Amino acid sequence: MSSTEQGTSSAAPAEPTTAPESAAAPEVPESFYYVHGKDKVVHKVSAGALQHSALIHGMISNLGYTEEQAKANPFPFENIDGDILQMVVDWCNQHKGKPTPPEDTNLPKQKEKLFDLVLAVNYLEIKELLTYCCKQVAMMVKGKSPEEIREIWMIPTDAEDEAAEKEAKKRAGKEAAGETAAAAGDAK
Amino acid sequence: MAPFPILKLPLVILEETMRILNPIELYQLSKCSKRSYKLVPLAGTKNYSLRATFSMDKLLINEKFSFITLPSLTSLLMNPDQQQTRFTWIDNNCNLDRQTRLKNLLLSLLDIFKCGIYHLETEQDHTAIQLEELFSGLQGTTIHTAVIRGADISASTLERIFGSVKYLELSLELPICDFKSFETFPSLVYIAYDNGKTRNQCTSFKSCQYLMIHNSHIDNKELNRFLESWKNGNFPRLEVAVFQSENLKKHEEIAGFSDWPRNTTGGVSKEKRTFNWTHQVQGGEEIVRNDGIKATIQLDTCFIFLVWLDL
Repeated sequence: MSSTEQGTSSAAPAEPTTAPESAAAPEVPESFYYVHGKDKVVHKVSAGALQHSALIHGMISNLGYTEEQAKANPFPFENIDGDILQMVVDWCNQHKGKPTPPEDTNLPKQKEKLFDLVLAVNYLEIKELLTYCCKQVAMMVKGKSPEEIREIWMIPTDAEDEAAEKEAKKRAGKEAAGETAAAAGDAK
Repeated sequence: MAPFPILKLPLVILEETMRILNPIELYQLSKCSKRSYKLVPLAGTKNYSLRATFSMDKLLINEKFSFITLPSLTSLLMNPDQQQTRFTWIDNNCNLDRQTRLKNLLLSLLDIFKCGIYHLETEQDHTAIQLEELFSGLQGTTIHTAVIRGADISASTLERIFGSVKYLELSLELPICDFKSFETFPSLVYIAYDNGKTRNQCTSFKSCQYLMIHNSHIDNKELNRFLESWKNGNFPRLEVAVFQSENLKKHEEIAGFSDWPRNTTGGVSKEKRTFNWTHQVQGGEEIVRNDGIKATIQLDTCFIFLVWLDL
């Protein structure tokens, strides 16, 4: 695996919070885990930050990895783009050990990435971030007319839906016919 | 803004997003397509509180978001105002009267939100046909409280109107009519305007909790029959009855007492609150039902009858 440890870059926003914490409570050394997305770039994340994700927290609790084992076995999230995972990791680091305020200004602003982000957050079961993402999605259509909503949320018209359904049926019919013909050819 | 394919989101995300939208935004969403219309109930709209007051020309959702109707006007657009709490609904058929427009809007909102009606209040000039049309559209709907007013509503019309609607509390403000078919109602308030057609008024009200008859023709003899019937357990739900009648004579006997009003000086003041009304009697006389339940009666400007079920 051609992984690049990005502990420094992804953990950077968390450093201001980790330093005073370690000074205040030096007796418990913080443990770290490693995750990577579709791009195989490995991100080093503290156990505290990962607690936001119910999915990863559950995995950690079940595995009981040592630091070395964790480093050798990064959690693979092949269905999440690298830049999206980076956003999620950054957010988890920024909110390590803290509850999320109702209006979080430190959250990802890239609207173009919102769809992938919301899917990733849902998959990783990060409840607070999911709530915020859903608010962002809802805000898109505040005060908009049906035509505007249809455009923003890419809602097909009834005619478009009907046409797509017809097309799908047609395609399924063709595929079924093709399979029958292939089966008949095999039998010969 | 980058387009966002909302329909490709998993159900759990859709639900959370829908719950953030307010009723006006959900209404707008429902108008995008058949598929978007199906998203609306995910917001939990089934539990919306819908108040339909025809005299106010508007529908209120969750006591905050109002939907008003206007006849078709080309200069107006269907846009919510800046506060996002008011929505103007334009009916394309400009020949419709305002009650029919509001009815159409009400049925449209019920269809979209799949909720019941918290409060429905019709108007004095609602015709029998208009009420029948309204209630035929409300078949299967639960109505928490209803105040039904209307003109020339017969008992048979009422039976058709109420046949398939479930009420928790019903208030009728109609001319006197026989409504024996409503005996199963859990809670019935009947505020009647006596049109003089029915002489034997009281026997119809056996399912009532609250009974008020304006311009009544009831006399002492009929009132005594009613009180005797109550003592025998024929009005088990009745808590309050108020009769206004010029035929009630203060010097004649009511429940064995004459020279009304009685015990006004030095008598105890009692108060009873039922539904939205509070009634107070000063003094009066106590009468007792055969099962021991007590009631206070007093005749002054009107006859007041308060039953103390909880004593």
